Amino acid sequence: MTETGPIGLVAPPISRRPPFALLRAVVRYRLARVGLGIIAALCFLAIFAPVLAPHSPYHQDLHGALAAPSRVHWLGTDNLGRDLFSRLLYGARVSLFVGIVSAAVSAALGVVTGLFAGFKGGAIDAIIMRVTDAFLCFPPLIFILAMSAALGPGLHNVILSFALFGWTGFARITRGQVLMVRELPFIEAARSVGVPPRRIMMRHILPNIMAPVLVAITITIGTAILVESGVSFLGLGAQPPTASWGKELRVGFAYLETTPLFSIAPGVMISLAIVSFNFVGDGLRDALDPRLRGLG
Amino acid sequence: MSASSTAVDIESTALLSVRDLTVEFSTEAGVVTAVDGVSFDVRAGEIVALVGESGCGKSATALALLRLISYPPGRITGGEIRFRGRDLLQADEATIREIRGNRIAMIFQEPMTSLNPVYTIGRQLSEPLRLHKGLGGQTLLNKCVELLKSFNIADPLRRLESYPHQFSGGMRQRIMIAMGISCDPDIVIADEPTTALDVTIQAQLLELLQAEVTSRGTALLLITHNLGVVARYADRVNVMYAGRIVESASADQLFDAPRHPYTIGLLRSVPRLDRPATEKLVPIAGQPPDALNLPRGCAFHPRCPFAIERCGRQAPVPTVVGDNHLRACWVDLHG
Amino acid sequence: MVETAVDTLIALRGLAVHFPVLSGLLGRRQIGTVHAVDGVNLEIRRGETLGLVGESGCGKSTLGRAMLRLVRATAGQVYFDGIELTALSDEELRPLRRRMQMVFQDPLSSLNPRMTVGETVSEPMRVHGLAGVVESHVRATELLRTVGLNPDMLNRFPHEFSGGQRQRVGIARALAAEPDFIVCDEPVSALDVSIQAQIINLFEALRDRLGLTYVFIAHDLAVVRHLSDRIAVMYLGQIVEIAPKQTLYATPLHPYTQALLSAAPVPDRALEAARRQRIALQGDAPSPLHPPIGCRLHPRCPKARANCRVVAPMLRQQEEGHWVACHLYD
Repeated sequence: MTETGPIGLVAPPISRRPPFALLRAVVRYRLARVGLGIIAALCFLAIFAPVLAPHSPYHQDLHGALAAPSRVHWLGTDNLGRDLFSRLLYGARVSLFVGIVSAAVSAALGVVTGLFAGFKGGAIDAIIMRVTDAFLCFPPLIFILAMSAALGPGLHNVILSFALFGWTGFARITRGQVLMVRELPFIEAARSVGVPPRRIMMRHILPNIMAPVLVAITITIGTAILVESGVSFLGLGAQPPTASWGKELRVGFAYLETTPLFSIAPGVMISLAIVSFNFVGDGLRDALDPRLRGLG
Repeated sequence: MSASSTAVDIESTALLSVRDLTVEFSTEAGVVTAVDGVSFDVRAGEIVALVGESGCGKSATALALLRLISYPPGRITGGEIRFRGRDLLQADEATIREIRGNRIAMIFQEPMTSLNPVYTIGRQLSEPLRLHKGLGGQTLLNKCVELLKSFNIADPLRRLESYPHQFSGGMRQRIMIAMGISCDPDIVIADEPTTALDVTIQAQLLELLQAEVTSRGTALLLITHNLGVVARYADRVNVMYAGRIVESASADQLFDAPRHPYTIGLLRSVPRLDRPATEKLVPIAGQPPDALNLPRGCAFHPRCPFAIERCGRQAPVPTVVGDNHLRACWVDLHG
Repeated sequence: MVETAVDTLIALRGLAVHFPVLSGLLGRRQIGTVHAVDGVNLEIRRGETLGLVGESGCGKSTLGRAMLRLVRATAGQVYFDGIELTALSDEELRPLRRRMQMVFQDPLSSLNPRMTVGETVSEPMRVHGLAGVVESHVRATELLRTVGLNPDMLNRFPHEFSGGQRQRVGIARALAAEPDFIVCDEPVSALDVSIQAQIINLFEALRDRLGLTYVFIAHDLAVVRHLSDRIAVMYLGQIVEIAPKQTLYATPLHPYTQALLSAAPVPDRALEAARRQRIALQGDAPSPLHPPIGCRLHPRCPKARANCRVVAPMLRQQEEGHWVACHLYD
């Protein structure tokens, strides 16, 4: 007899499509608001970098290298005299692009796999899960090194490694969710109506498992940016003259004593991005959690 | 006695006397007044029923009696609860703890979750006895065995070492009842004690409970939504709707001549084995009220077939319609 | 082929549904079997409403699902309109599903929270090719009206409705494909008392209007009595008594039925006061993992005899349409 709960609440009769209700719920958390704001700002900067950048990120001026911040160069210049601020703006494009694409690719692959495994069950599920476990054991970094050796260094290695390894986490999460949702009465109801299995998977199960997947995506974006930074730091990611936050951080590291801003600024950008995505992820998790437990 | 806003001030020689109890819950969408000025008495040895549907505030009332409302989100915001003349809402923590389980005991609905799964039955059963009666050692063991025996649990000595999951739902509830009466309380509050159980087990348990309280002279506050259970066991009945008591009467009066439209509606809409199978069910129209958005005036009026204009403007106050028979309604009805 | 009367819609022959209890590292080792349904023979006429009562663990829900082949039968056959369901593949069965539907117990969890009510109600029509997008929308509107809901609510989500309203949506969904047969699995148990009557009346009105055949599952004898023509009482996976409505309540023969009837309190003070002696069952219900040998009720039956411990009684007809499985009447 808990249809309306102990306080007798009945939802008000206003139509609200779940996606926007979700956004509204997330925004209620201050940290998530902050995170969203920062991400929006970063995306804006990235998209409009060509317009916003006061200088070309590639224009070298060896005489004015490693300059301190001035009215001309807001954050100073790098070791080749290029405007740091502009390089960071263009770097945002790279980092955010790699982060988002990596997360998207691994999410897509992982969710499809997890859906399939969870829904089919039995032997297929077992096989897929063993394959997942195998991939999980493989250290991605070694793979990136190997790929760099084989295909040459570049950002594509990062995306590739996420595609090949990042899907495992999503597959696990998705499969777990599917196993849970599969047992819910409305799935049985769909079967009793005569809904074919594929439609049950896409129309009934998938929309109801997206919650933790969305949270995982935000976290993965953060991770991917971090990985890209690390890889570029090692020199295996963004190649000259492309700017990326990780690359700037790496190059700037050598000049830490004289021109600290050179590496601190990109470091701050990286941290800001990752933390913001995590805040949003936390907000999503909090907003979805109680509803997920009762699923509506 | 505090200033009561009820139209009639019932002289209280009662064991438990609740006056104008108000409990609020803060939710995301606003404040819900789960219990809105509830007043009733429980006399020594009496079986009083608190009847209503989900969301009417009966469980919140029960929890409030033992000050078990957790803040946040809930808070007791008004009224008094006089137990043996002393207002529990003013008492300090130590006093309340001394009363809980000892003078006033509570039995909950879900025996699965109200028994701690990681402790043995013996440990849990003995806890109130240890705490309140200071029993220990062999005396304690004997008392526990005796309790289990009187509740028809076979092999009590061995079963004291068992864990809750090793018992069936009915047996767990029997253990809960045993825990409840173990310290010989003055009042036992049973919050929907058998709702989760089968009909035959329910009958067994309620009979057991009735036998125990009758033999010990304990009062029982029975919270339920089942009118049949009320007819079978209760001496007095309080009907709740949207946080208020709409009718309060002896069980005989209530079933013989109900005077509130909600009570009448309930009795007519419930499928009954004692009426001809062909007799039509007369449902109560409409939906249960939205606790965040209660109707103006009488909360029941949108669903009431007898509603008049006044009902939508002003909430009715309890009036006397018989010997210790109160109801809150503007319309003059006769059964 | 089985001989059944022309107007028999559902026939069950020796139906058994057993669930293995698995244990071990990979969940492979079977350590027991739950005998949810154990040897049920039943025939339901077109247009009839059969009430199915029993307490938890008696197998009534499983039996209802077996009739719709939502669970697989371990043994026996299920016939729908002469077609043997148990022999069909999932693909072959799907078009038949149109004609047999279910209304579920929990109105909230039996509706997809991310689909609007309109989408939920139109889905059966779309899936069975009965209507296109536009037409199914129109028909869904009509259906909502039929079950007493405001058609404007088509684009709302389940969480925006109250429990009784959600159950109406569930009923509308069951009606969408224009079925012949509906299994109602405790459809009012999760609803408030004041709403139950509304839904029971709705079931009645729909049945009369559309000529539906129902199996109405409930644990409450009073609720079942209202709608049913015949009532079957189940205990631990078997039907112990089956009789037309009037006779079952007037002269219950099986001790279990008698116990059920006497255990259920009635909201009438005078009647309750007069009812002194309750026909009590000893102890708790045994688990369906280990059903007792002989008559399954014998450990708890106040009238058990030596015979009952050894031999399981068969369902025998005592009077017209009234069958009992009890040695007292052999």
